[in-house]
Amino acid sequence: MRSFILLLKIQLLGLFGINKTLHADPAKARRTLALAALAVAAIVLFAAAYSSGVAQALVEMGLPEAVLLVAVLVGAVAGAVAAFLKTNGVLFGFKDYDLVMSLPVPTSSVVLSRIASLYAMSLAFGLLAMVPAFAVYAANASVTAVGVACMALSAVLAPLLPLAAAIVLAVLIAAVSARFKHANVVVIVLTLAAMLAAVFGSLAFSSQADDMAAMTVLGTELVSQLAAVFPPAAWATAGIVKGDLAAFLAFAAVNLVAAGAVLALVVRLFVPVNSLLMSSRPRGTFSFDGKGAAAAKAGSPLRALMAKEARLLVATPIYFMNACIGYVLVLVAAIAVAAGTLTGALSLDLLPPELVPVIGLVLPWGLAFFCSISSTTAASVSLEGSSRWLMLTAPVPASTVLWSKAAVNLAIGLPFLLVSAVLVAVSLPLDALSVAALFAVPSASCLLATSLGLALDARRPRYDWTTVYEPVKRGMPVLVVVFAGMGLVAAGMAAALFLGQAGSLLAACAVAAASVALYRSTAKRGLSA
Amino acid sequence: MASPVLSVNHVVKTFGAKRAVDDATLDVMPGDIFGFVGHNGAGKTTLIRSIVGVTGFDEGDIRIAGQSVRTDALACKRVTAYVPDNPDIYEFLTGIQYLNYLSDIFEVPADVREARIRQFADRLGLTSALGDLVSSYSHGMRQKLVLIGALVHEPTLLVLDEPFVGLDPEASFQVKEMLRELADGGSAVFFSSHVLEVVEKLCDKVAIIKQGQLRACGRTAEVVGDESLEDVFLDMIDRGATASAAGAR
Repeated sequence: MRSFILLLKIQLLGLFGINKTLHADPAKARRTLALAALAVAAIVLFAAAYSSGVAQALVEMGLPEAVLLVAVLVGAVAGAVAAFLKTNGVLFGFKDYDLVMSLPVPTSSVVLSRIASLYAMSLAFGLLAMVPAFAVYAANASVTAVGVACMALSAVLAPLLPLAAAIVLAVLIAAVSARFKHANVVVIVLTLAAMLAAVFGSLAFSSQADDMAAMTVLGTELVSQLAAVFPPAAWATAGIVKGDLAAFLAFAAVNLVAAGAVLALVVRLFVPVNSLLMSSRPRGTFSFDGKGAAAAKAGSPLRALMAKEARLLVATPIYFMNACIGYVLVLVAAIAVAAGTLTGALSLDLLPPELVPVIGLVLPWGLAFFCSISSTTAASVSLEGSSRWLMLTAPVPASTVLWSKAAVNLAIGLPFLLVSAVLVAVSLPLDALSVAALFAVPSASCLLATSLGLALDARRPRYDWTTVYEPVKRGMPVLVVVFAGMGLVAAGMAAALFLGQAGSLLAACAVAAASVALYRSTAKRGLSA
Repeated sequence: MASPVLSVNHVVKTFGAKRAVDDATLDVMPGDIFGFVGHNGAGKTTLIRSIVGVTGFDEGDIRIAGQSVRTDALACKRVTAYVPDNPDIYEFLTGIQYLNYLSDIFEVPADVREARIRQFADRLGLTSALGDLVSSYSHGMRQKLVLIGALVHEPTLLVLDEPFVGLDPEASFQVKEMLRELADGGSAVFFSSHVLEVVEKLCDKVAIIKQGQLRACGRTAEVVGDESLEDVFLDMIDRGATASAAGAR
């Protein structure tokens, strides 16, 4: 137990650079803590507003039970998705594996400390989704003391089963991919497949719901469908609403047994899978006379830097998934729009006439949303890590290094955006200004995410990470880009609704100009050691 | 008389109140292999990082091939190569991709780079592994790869921080030969090491740094005199310890 606590403490001290902050000079620590507090407050407020808004809507539809079902389901699954993305890097393939495993502590303690940090993250996501919804439910229904206790226990237990499933899936992907030469590409493909399956699964679920005629029928169907998708959520709901302790015990037992089983499984597989992932040996088959003769091709420094950035992206699944999933999703959404229009399932004629112009106004910002909340640049400088001496001693201006990082994001993002805009433009009957906005608004948003991410990461890079998860998922620049992107889309939609499509186009021009100015200032400032 | 390849003039580098490098001055001439020794935390790596442009310095100037590191960093970097104490390089690249990357950055023509990579990789026994990912390399293999990358653009100044750590005896011998050949070609080599026997045998000149200050600097034979470098170094450390103890009393 002591070793588990010590290992967990080390992990938690590394979390968000807490230990570094504690040992920094007091003024800097205060600034960092204030920024962190602001970010946390923003996340909590946003999540609370969203969760309670959805819950209130369900209550007004006469579906208070659905509030609990949705809360438990969403809270559990959201945490599991985050844990799934984090597993490779926390549980497997982490940098200090050799050091940790050489310590005189049982493997089970090491595994438990790492799963505990995954659980803590799942729990945080779960609480953000569940607590506001539970509060809305409690305000609108009579809840007994048993119900309150069940609510509290639900929040703690609900993430366990999806977390267990997420870990099993991540272990399988890691184990399968380790057998391939280009393991990281396999991880990206498998992870993308898993995420797209989840997206299409939820779309199928929604479209079934859309077919329902009356709201009451929809409510009943929704509850039964949610219960069928995730029965433990229904059992938890029964415990909270009806005081059905047998159902609640079943919910608790399923979660605890799943967690225990996965813990046992991972303890067994921890060393073999990590060994498989980390003990690759050179094959030693290179020769200048074979394919190697063509290997020594010359290119410009910028091209070399860009190729290096692209290779890093493809070789680091979590980086790719975090920074590029928006581009994949925007294309998926555009294909869905095109397919829906082609098959007749989606038509503006089905909407009330007064809503049709609104679609044209908000659609560009809808596309922009996907590409404005992430950028490869937001972690690209930090990811130089302990290899940063190469970047810092290279005989190229810092502006070239920074431009290579920005250019890679634009080279990936803009083609996705342009193809998506073309698909939407030919699928829907939009006027010329709306079509122009379809191209201009997402492109400008992509520019802003690119230059903002780069500016923040170049100014305050975090080179001392032990897993790429730290700069890629927990880095301050990444979080700021997410919130700035959300804010931009909200402001853009408001501008479009109040000023019309011209407002959108003006906003896009202003955002693009600001992005270019920000990039130039970043390039002038240079790189930090 | 030839101009120095590396000229360090009254350089001061501070971290807060601590003077990590305190008024360091030395010249490295073409053809020199210059050894730089000192105990842990003496300021060796700090001065080296200032020379190669990884970190700045507070006072003085560093000139490489006549150009100031402070005002014309790019010109200095073009003629310098650096081998850090830890061969941390991009693990997601193969060996040959890494060498091509560096060759592109230093704008080495394709035919020239291939000939040089072939030559150095063969000598260090790394050719067959060049198609594999760096992540699969051992520490020593990475060290060899970094060395090849440093030599591929024929630097005028080669700066190495503990270059012999992790190398097998054969590779260590080859590296010493390669450093000598580079120096004989008119370049200069500046390296730090704790392996005093190697420094004494290989280096034409040597500097000993202690608590940020250069305590001895000159031709190896002059610094060592009738003693070994190890004796001189330990004597300097002992003197410091005795002085500290006396000061404390």
